[in-house]
Parts: sequence; C-alpha cells; structure tokens
Amino acid sequence: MMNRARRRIVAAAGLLPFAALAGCATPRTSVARANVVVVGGGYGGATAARYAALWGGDAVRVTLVERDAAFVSCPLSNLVLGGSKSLADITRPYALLARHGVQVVHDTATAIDVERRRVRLARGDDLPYDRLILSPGIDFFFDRIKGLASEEARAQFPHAWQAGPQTAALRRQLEAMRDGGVFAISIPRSPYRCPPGPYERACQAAWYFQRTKPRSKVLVLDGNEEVQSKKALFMKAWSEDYKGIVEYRPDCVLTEVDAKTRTARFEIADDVRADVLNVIPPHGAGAIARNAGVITVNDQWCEVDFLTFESKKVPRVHVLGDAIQVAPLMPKSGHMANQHGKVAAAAVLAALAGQPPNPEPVLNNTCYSYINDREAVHVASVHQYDPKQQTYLTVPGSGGLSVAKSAREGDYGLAWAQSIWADMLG
Amino acid sequence: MRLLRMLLPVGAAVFVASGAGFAAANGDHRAREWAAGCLGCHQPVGGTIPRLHRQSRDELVTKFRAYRDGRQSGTVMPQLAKGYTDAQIDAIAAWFATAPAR
Repeated sequence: MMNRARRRIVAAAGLLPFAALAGCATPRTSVARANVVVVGGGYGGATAARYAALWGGDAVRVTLVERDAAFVSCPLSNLVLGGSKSLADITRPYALLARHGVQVVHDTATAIDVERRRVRLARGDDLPYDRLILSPGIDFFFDRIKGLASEEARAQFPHAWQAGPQTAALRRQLEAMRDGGVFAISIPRSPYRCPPGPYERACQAAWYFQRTKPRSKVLVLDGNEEVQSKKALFMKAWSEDYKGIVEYRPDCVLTEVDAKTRTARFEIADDVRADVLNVIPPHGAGAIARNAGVITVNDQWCEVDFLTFESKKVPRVHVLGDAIQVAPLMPKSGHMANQHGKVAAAAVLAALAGQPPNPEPVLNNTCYSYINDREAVHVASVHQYDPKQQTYLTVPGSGGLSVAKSAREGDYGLAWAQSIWADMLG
Repeated sequence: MRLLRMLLPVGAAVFVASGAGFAAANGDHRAREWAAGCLGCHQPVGGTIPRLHRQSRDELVTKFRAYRDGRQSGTVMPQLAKGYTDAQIDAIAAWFATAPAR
C-alpha cells in the first residue's frame, strides 16, 4: 500500500513515531497507522469520520462506532410528524462510508478509558485510539420532571427529539387524536438542540390538523420568555396560516407531568391538560461524554478548544455537535455539527502529524424550517474564529433570515438534506 | 498529483514555520478546510443547489463577490457571502477550480 517514498514523508511529518508509540497492531506489510476512533454517527461524527479518512489517507485508520443500523435525520423529521414525509425518506444507510475508507462498527461505546486510550464496546473488543472524536448527541434529564421517570410515562409523553422510533410514536399519537383535541409541545430552557425545531413542529402539526381534524389545537408551551429562533416568521405563520389553531405561551417551565390526567404543571404558568403531550425534556451531552469526563459546564455541556474541538479537560478527546458548550450565537444544529466535524478532522490529522491546526477556521450555518409541506424559511450565519477571544464570533452584517416563507426555499431545504447526507455518508 | 499530495504535510509544516506562506498554492490545507465548509450544501454533482466544482476561479470569485456586494439577489448566499474575507473567497474559489470530485 505505502511506498517507500511515502513512508519517509510520513515519518518526516511526525506520524510514524506517534503511531509506533500508540502500540496499535502493526500490519505486516505496512507501517502502523494512527488510530482515529469516532463515537457517534450523526451529523458531526459521520462527517468527521469521512473527512478524517479522506484527508488522512494511508496515514490513519478511521473507525466509526455507531449504535444504530441506519442514520435517521432529525432535520426534516417534523415533516414525518406532519405526514408529508415518511421515516424512510429521512433514513440513509452507513454502508457507503466503507468505500470512503471508514470502518463502521455497529456497537455501543459503553466506556472510555482516557488513560489507556481505549473505547470499550458493549459487544466487541476494546478499540485503541490515538485520537478520539466524540459526537455523542444528547441525553435527557428525565428525572428533572416529576412523573417522567417511569418507562410508561416516557412512552406516553414521547420527546421525538431524536429521530426514529420516537418520531413514529408521536406520529401515531397525533393520528389517533380526536378532532377537537389539544396537542401540546413543551420546550426546555435554552440552550437546547435545534432552536427552531419546536416551532416548526407546531407548524407541521397545525398543517396536519387543518386538513384532517380542523377543530384541533396546537399549544406551544415554551420554557423561554420568547420564541428562540425565526421568531417573526413563526409568529406570522401562527397568526395567519394557522390562526385559531396554534397558541403560543411563553415562560412555561415544565416541572411535572401527570400520566393519568395528561396534565402538565409548570413553575408559574397554569396547568395544561392535553390529548397529546410532547415533552422535550431538558438535555445535555450524551452519556458517553459523561463517562469520558469531558462534560464541564453545568453538568450539561462540553467545553472545547475551538481551533481543534479538543476537550478542555481531557487531552486527545475531541467533542462535536450539540454536546459542546457553544460559542456566542452558535446554534446546536445538524449543519453546524457537520461544520464542527470538518474542523475537528483536520485538527486531529494535524495533531497526529505534529503540526499546528488551521489558525483561521470559519463555520457557516444554514437551517431551513418548514411552515407547511412545501414552503420553508431559513436562518443563516457565518462564524469566524477570533484569536483574541479564542471563540467563534458571527461577522457583523452577515447572516440573516428569509423575508417570507417560499416554495423555492422549500425546494432548497430538501436539496440541502440530500447534499449534507451525501457529504457525511457518501 | 498523488506525489504532490504526499508532499503537502511536509510543505505545510515548513510554511507554518515561516509564517505567512501557509496559503501558498501547493500546501494549502486552509483552502481545503474552508472549501469543505461549502460542501454541506454544494455537492460535486450539483442540482437544485449548484455545484462549485469545475467552475473557473474567476467565475466563482465574481459570483461570490456579487452576492456579498448586493449585486446578485438570492436567499441564503447574499447573507453567507458577507461573512467571508477576500482571502477566504479567493482561496475557496481556487480550490474548487482544481478540486478532485472525490
């Protein structure tokens, strides 16, 4: 595989001594490659794995550990709730990644040994790493809401904030709901995954009700004092397109759910009885991040060095996506996680080669929300690294929102999904 | 081309050591990373969202600056274009003009 000239070059670049130190299995006919292990195959992790393999070439062995057999997208999953898309439409296989040099291991990472630099798997052998990239997504603090701890309660009040079976469960509840029923969505305090997502969900449910059970209502119970993203665009949709269907209530911090009476209780706001209650509980970085010891803020998020996405706490462990403590105005979005993945992949390869990272990374975000089955609105932003403050700052005058919903942007949103899935999964 | 890519890590290290030369055409990892930021939407095959691959450097720079300066209307791009520096625009355009299709 690796010719003599290349070996000399890799050695000169510092990869060889590093890989040798790692003590990983040495193939007979080639020099040892550095092991890059990625845990979590969502927008962040799959992207990081693919780009580490693409840019690292023969110098690295990239392994992606992913629990699920297929990728199911959170972006567009609200359209499954509304009924204009199916789960199959937002599901993609991991199989193509092998062609791009990524070994995909379908298993669950149960523990990280940061001293010995190994990832423990539920079913298989431990995986040694030289650099670890954690893209753990989120896990929920169910115990912070009274009455939500039991399996039955969680089944009755699905979050559908991780796409897949939860999405299907909530869709079934909406389908079974009587005409004239109330569908309530409980939103946790910011920062949470996908700031505009709950409001798009309200639009999709309203679109569905309008056509099939027009006497029904959507109640948006926001744990924040106002709509967190695309505010004017969503308020306009609720007051015009969905007048009399969607009602928005701010300052509704959920404290308790009662499964018997389907009642939600709040810190201050009045109790709400709903036919279908969608509870998006407070959440933080996924459990494997806690195990690795990289959660550093409020027992919730992971601080990283923004040039490399390396944990500020644990060396050689990089963290991506919704799990991180974000920079100012940086959304927890799939598109942003994809951007993190590329910067992290490049930084990991640079570190393995003994080189400094790109000193001027730039990230962009583009996020579409669907007002109905075909019209969408967007928010966009650009985040340049600021060396003085060591964080990303949005560029004054850049970024912005749609002027109004449009079918053109609805088409762009679907095209965006196809593109980014191809970018991350091949 | 393959030999060139092999030499890049070494070349890049030398350029870093010497400071400003990092963006030189032969060892530009920054351009590759910046350009990768566009690929989430702009895939090599094109379609509803146009491809950037295999367009000339001048054409890409002209289009991008037209978005940035308000001479070209659009949805997302006029807003994103305002966030990039001239150096980034030039490097990204140069990368796409000669990019491998993957």
